[in-house]
Amino acid sequence: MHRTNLYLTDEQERALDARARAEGVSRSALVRSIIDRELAMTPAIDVEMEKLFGELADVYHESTNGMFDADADLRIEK
Amino acid sequence: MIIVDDKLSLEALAGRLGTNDVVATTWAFHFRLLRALEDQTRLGRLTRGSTAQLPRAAAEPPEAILQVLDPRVITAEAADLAARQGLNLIAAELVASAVHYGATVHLSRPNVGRRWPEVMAAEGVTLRIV
Repeated sequence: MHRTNLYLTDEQERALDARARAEGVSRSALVRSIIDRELAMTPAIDVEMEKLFGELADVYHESTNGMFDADADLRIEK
Repeated sequence: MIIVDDKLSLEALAGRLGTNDVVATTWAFHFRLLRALEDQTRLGRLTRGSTAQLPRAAAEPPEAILQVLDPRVITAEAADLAARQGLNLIAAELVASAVHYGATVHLSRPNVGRRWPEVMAAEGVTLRIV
């Protein structure tokens, strides 16, 4: 393991300590687990995925035309 | 910060927005995007056979590429706007988020509501139609 110094706001420090107490772990262990979860949940977007997202963007409006017209919350009022 | 719609969120994920600003979208536009990707008779059929990472990346995009704004932060402002300006949920959340974060709004042309430019101008929000 590597030692790393971080600057936290007072609010972040209080929230971290409260969560660490609740989970019965040290602040360092909690920070490590938060980082593990965040990195695991965020897939990198590679060139192939960018290409597919671009293809989806190119046909987005044509493919979704009218999809939300019956939804009062989500439709774009024309 | 730039707040974008569902279509421009895809452009951000495709790396085609070409901006150094923080790019974000609202919960409602993010929901529309994910709903569209799930529709197997329309857009979703294009994602068949793609890596499972693609829907995950759209659902939980890397923050450096696209942030999804927490609607709870602006609920009161959005409710006030909806009442004052007669906006529906997606419009009220969009305008309230832009006001709250001091953000510029970028929309694709088909996603510009009839009264949105007028309302955004009245609320001091800069709108760019892409």
